Amino acid sequence: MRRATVALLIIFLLTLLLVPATALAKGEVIVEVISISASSGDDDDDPDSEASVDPKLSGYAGKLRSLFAYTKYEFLASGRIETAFGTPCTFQLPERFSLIVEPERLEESDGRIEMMITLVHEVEGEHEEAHRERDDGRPDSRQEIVLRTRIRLGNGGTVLLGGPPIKGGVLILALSARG
Amino acid sequence: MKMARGCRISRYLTAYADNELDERTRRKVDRHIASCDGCASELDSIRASDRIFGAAPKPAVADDRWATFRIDLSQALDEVDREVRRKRARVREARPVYGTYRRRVLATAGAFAAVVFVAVALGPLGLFDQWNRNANECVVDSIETFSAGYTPMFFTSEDPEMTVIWVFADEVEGGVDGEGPGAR
Repeated sequence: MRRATVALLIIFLLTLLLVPATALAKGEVIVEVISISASSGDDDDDPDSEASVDPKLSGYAGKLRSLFAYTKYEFLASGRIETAFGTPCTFQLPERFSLIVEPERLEESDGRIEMMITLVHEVEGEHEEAHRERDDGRPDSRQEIVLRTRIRLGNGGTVLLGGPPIKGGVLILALSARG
Repeated sequence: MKMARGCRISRYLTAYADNELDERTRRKVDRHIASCDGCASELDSIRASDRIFGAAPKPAVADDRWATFRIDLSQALDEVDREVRRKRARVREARPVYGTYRRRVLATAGAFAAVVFVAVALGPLGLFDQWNRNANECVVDSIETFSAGYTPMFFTSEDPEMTVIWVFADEVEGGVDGEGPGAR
């Protein structure tokens, strides 16, 4: 009798403590991006040999091996930004790539997060116009929108974006969002 | 004339013979006997039996026997009381910890509160996402590029948790032997 009362009291107090915390977090989205370099080395002739995956990517090793045919996956960087719906956040990626993620809304029906994703590459010196120096002395550059996509991602889910060439391989991004 | 068998009045006949009925019932029996040969005959039998037993000699019981009889009776009743108390104690011992109704109600309420707590407090934190296979599914509504030399596509694998959006670059081979993602 007394134990049950104490247990109920503890549960009630914990609920009081946690519910306001979750209420505060409502309306915000945590976006996380992991940059991966995928490559196929010249000495990896044996197609049956298992691809080497950076230990920092152990959580994705199985999926990377099953989805792609590259032989080496290296961790490059990771970023985590907490933002509000309607507010874009920018992740600076290796080799002048950047990823702009704008969570737009949380679907009431199935809890998916609708978001606009833009992958931008800052191009420098590839074209004659870009070689011209600007007035402030810095080399001129322009931004290419490599990819723009609107997705609805399950809350807490991950989507893989990849393909742009980087030094020695291609860039793969693991984008996760939780609202 | 009516017969005694089946007469409702016949059950009063013994008490009538012993003069133990109230006045109203006694008058009722009187009227019935006057018209029912069966009951009148049965009443005669009862009175005859009473006369026979009343004439028989009463058994003699010694005074000391009555004294020991009272003591024995008292002891026997005490023993019955003790046995009843022992049975009640055994029933109490056999009950589980949460055997009483109030404890069962409290335990059920506690379990329900715990479930509600887990669902309400921990659900919004996304701790249940790993149990929900659809939580990670991704729907691609639109996909485009504004750069020459890139071709964007998206792939859904058999694993509903993994969607791949891939930008094919013209100058770079993708994956092994230029097959790109999903080569396996």
